[in-house]
Amino acid sequence: MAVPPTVFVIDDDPSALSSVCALLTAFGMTVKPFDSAEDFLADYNELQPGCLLLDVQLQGIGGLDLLRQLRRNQLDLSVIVISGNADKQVVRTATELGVTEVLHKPVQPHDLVDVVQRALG
Amino acid sequence: MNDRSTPTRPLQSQVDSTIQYPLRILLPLSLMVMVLAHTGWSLFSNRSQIVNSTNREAVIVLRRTMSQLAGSLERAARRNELSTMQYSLASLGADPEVKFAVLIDEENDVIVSMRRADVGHRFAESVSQPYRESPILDAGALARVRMSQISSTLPFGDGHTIVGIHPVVLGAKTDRIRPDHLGLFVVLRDIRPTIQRATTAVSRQAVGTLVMSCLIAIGLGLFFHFRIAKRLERLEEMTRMVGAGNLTVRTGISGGDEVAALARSLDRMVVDRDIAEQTLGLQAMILAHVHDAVISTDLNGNVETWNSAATRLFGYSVEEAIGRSVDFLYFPDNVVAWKEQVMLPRAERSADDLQMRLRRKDASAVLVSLRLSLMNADDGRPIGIIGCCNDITEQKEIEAKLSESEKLVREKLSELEHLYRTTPIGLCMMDTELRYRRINDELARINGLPVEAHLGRPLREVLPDIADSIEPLYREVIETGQAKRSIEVERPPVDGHGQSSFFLASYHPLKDDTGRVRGVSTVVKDVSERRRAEERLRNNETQLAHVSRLSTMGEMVAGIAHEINQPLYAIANYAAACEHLSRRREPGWEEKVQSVMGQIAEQAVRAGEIIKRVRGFVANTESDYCPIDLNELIRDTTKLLSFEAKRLGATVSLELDAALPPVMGDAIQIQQVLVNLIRNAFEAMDGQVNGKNNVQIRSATLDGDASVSVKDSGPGISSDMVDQLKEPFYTTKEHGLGMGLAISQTIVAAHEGHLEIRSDADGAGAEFCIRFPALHEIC
Ligand SMILES: Nc1ncnc2c1ncn2[C@@H]1O[C@H](COP(=O)(O)OP(=O)(O)OP(=O)(O)O)[C@@H](O)[C@H]1O
Ligand SMILES: [Mg+2]
Repeated sequence: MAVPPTVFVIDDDPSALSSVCALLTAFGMTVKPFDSAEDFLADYNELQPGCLLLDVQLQGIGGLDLLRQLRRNQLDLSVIVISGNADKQVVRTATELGVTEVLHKPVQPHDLVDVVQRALG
Repeated sequence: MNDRSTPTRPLQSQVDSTIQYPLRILLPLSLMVMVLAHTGWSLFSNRSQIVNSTNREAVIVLRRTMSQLAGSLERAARRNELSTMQYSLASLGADPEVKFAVLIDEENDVIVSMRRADVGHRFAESVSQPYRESPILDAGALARVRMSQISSTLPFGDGHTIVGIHPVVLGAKTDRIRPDHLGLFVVLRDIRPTIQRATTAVSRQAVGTLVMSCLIAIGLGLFFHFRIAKRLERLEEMTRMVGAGNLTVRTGISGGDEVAALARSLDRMVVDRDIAEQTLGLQAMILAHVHDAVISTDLNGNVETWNSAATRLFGYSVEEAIGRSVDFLYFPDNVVAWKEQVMLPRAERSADDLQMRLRRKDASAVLVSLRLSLMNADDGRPIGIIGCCNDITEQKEIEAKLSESEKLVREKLSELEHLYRTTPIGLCMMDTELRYRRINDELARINGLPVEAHLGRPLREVLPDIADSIEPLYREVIETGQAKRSIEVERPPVDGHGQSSFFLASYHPLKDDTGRVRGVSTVVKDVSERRRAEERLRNNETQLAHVSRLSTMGEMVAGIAHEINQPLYAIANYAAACEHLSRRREPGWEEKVQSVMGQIAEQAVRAGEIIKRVRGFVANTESDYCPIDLNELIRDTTKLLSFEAKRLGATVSLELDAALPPVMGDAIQIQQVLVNLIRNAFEAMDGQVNGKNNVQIRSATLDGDASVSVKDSGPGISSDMVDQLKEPFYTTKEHGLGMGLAISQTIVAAHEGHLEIRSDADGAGAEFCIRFPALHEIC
């Protein structure tokens, strides 16, 4: 049996993080929460299949910075970005960096589930 | 004291005090002489008397003896008993004074004799010398006796010899007896010894008397000496001393006799004179020292007394003035005859004191007040006039000045009175029984009653509605004597609706000379208008603060929206999870759903809290003062601003003083200040890339005040800018209004606090410190 794909969730708001995890878990997905980009980079294993659910407004290394870093490292991880404010600049940068999807808060939970399931393929 | 008025002591003529005829010697001496004379005289007169009486007595005795003997001789002769006769005569010889006794016959021959040898001899031969030649015994004398046959007894003439011749009848004839029958019996007796004896006794008695008298005289002399002369001498000495002016001596003589009485009255006299002299001296001194010029004249107007004040006043010396007519003191046009003036009946005199100009020696005039009075002798007869004058030039000036200043004072007083009455400040005076003694128009107006309705009435009756709150103030002032200043008194609307009135009242104790409080002076100022204006201002400020808060909120609205979005996003996720779980119903789904529902509730509360916080911050509440725990307010505010912190990439660290005292104030407004300061701090650090964007919020107790400091690690403020920051509309920010600090300053000031800006060197950041007085009583 193949290793189930994992959804990596990074959000510095604990309630947002735990609610997203609760939602995805309820839909039978494997979820791994991180409250900062640094934690994620420290833990991330390239061989692990999955996708990354990223809140762009993060303390420390921002979400877009993390994206750039991932792209520099040639990591092929599908990334879904959630932005708190619909800043067009952010959307554009994110799209340029090749994210799978950009979602805007508040996100319909079912949309979120759909997007993640699609990203996981 | 060169005044004429000083009594000069009359010159004492030197009294010769030697006593030429001391009584104490003269008196006894004269007594002795008197006694001596008396004794001599009585001795002399007694002696002749004694001689006479002795002689008389001796004659009688001799006569009697001889007649007896003659009888017996006659009988013996008749019987011719010669021997018997002889014997009878011989018996006479026993008396030594009897010099001889013979019986002779008619031929004068001795028949019988006392001495036997004589018998037979002639009578003349038998008479012994010196009696033999005496004529008494001559023959003639004998013959006369014979003839007369009458016996004779005679004194001899020498004073002490008596001769008795007695006829004797010789009856019987003897051989020897001659026939002549008549014989003579002759006896001679010398009574000198008897006389001697008698005189001796008398002289002895006289001498005794003399000696006694002398002793008495000496005693008398001594008595005189000690009891009278000595004391008189002392008196004499004393009078001399008194005469010399020594009035302190006293006789020192005691006793109940006349001298002592004299001494006592002398002492009394000296004491009286001493007192009189002292009085006189005192009077003289007074006269010399009185400020008034005292001049006395006789009835003719000639000066008799002139004291030194008179010399000072008029310039004439005593010598120049005495004896002259007092007219020299007048100018020719205003001569006043003292005598006429003083004799005027009292009713006709204009006043007791004449005020007039008198002339000085240097011809200048001096304005004096002259009082004349008549000097009377003891019997009421006028003897002179006394005039007292004093210089009233100065007095007149002073009087003029006084009346002027009095006028001034009166004017001032009426000004003050007017001021008191009309001043727009309420004034009243309350006695210690809290009755109105005085009140001005303004206070009467404030109290809403006419002035008359106050006077004399007690406070409680006049102001029953506020008596309870102000009576204790009055009582305290009366008891302690300490003023109470600026006490705020609120008076509820009299008719129950409308607005309360506010007064600022001060109570000052009024004390008498002994420091006892005798009343309270009250100053009342109606500050209702001011209070209302203040209230309006405060309302405006509150409004402004509110607007500012709204604007702040407006700036933060995006952040707040995000903040609220978070829980809502979480809730949506949780809810979807729940829905999916409950639809799939996999084993254990219920527990999962329950836990997720718990999360939902939690997030809903979180969202509610954010909204509550925001609503609290922007609420337009009336400013409401209550005790505030600044620490709690700081925590609350940092929560409100947590999103801003996150948005601007800043961290907040708290350092709170757990013992921070509470302060009194409007919590929302103070929070507004904190928000402004913290946001400024965030904004100052925005864009810094060194990653150390920290705001340090510290609370502390400073000198009893509660303080909060907000310190950032931004660029700081250059010191020349510090003063400008609090100006309204000063901003360096693109979207800033420049109202944050201005409003904060107003709010802090309204809370009697301070806002202080500290900024050290560049890079060290800025520190904003607010400070409020601590609230000590917990309400
Ligand atoms: N912590 C700080 N460090 C440096 N400068 C400050 C700081 N706080 C305030 N300032 C300066 O003071 C000015 C006035 O501040 P103020 O809060 O009154 O207005 P503002 O912040 O510019 O606008 P707003 O009305 O939105 O608050 C600011 O523009 C800024 O230049
Ligand atoms: Mg500001």
